[in-house]
Amino acid sequence: MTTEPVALLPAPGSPALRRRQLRAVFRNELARSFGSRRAILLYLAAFAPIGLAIVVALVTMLEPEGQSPATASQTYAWIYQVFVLRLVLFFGNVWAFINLFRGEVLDRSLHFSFLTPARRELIVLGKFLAGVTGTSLLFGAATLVSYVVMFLPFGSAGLVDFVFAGPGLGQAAAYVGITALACVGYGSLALLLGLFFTNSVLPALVLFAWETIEFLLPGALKRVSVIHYLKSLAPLPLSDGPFAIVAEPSPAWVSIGGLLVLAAVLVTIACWRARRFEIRYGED
Amino acid sequence: MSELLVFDNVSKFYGEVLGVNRVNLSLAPGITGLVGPNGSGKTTLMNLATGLIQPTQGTVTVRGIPTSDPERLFRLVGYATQFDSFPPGLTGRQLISRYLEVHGYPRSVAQELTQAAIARVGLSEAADRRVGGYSKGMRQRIKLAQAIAHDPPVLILDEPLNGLDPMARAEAIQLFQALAEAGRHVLLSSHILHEVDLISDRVVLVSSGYIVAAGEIEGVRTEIHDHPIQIYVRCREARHLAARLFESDHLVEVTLHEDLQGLNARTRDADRFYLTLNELAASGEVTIEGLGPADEDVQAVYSYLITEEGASS
Repeated sequence: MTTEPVALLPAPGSPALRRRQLRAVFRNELARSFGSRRAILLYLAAFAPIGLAIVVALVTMLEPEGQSPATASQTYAWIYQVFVLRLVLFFGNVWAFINLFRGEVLDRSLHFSFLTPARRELIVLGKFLAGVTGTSLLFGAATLVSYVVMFLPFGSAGLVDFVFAGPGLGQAAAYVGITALACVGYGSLALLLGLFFTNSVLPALVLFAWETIEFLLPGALKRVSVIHYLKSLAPLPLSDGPFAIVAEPSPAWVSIGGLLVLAAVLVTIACWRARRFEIRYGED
Repeated sequence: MSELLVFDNVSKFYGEVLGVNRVNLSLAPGITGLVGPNGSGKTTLMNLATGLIQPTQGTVTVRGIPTSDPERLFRLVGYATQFDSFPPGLTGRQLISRYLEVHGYPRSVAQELTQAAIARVGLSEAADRRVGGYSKGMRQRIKLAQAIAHDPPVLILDEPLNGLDPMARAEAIQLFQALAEAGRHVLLSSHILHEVDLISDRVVLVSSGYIVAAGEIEGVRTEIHDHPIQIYVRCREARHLAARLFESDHLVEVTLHEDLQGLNARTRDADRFYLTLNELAASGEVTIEGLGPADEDVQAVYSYLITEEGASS
């Protein structure tokens, strides 16, 4: 190559350069976070709702009496809100997003990213977008597959009828949408934990406890949790039990807008933190 | 042109622990050796120069660019760190190519630059093997390839010769010299004084977070020459050799080995010592079976310099 390599780059700070860099960080992060051994836990977590749906479908096939697409839909609402939303999506996203930075610190390889002529804000954004894309695709697909599996005992005709003539399509789309929003909300929180805490387990557990007791909190405090907004979007509202403090669900635009704004604020704080982040693996 | 690398009253503390203290340093182009024992602050200075850590006080600039501006800084700088760790699962080629894409190079250009860098460090055959399976020497070379891949005018290399076998070491030294001849500016660190002496135009001695000495290599070497160094010689005629050596005025002390098959000599002038030894061997008076520095650890030189400084102040 006769030209100086630097002459082949767009000007520093130009949108063209930043787009290229963002794409490269995004691709690298997708490959690292979802193509490595560390991702096995994510795949197992994503398979969990499908496994549970298979068990429920088998039970339905063995004892079909009193079962219908409507009851399956209600059962799935429980599975989704109690198991998928509170456990699978919370811990799956915490694992994926904490590791965006903490994983590279543990591998002692974060310096390779920080030694490139890319702003650290751009690295944070690229990693976050890769995390959101990867987890949304993975958990979104798992949500969709587990939802479909629930209706298999009713045959293809029953499934097609429920999905296209009934509420099935809307419900499935809502669940996938909530899953993607959960990835954005929990992902941005976990991204921050990974940047601020050397050992992120304890703060993640505190966050989990807060999200778990959300149903006991008064209305104003419910709005300080992610789960409140996600539950507000659920197609089939569920009772939180006799001890729950009932509050009006937030309107969809508030829930969606609120979670996106929360994510934007948290990613901005993560960028600020990344600019000051020091590579000192020995102390991590 | 701005100074290559400027540390302006830079201090770095890790909590209560001193990294470096009140460093004022301007490095000019050419090859500069940063020498100091392990834990002296060399890596801290290099990490400060590349923004991997931030100074507690003071500022660091490279050609006038602050280290807080990676977009401009890392177009100029390539850094081979001392961290012996890599993203898991990547081959040598992927490691370099992927990060070149983060620079902003299109994939085809990144691959071309990767190939050139890998060839330059002699790793072409192993380029498609996973870095995790590389030997220590190969890992050192892939780090070097990663640092030079975008052909930066400024190279910062932390202990680049560590783990290299003699052949690879000689090739690496040749590469540094070729880079310097091509107008690149190289700052490299080592805890082995002899290595830096071979390569560098200038040297900066670091000890316990302070700059002990800095300047043209000849000046520092003169200071070092005042410090008696110890050399071991293995030969059957150790008593005779000792007697002959004592005829030289640079000899400070001789200790015979217990088996009388060698000796340790302390001299104020290593060059003249080796010359004398050559003459004795050439004349057949002694048969040298082995020799080498017994305390060429740079710590000895620092202790000497620091003590001298302390004694004179």
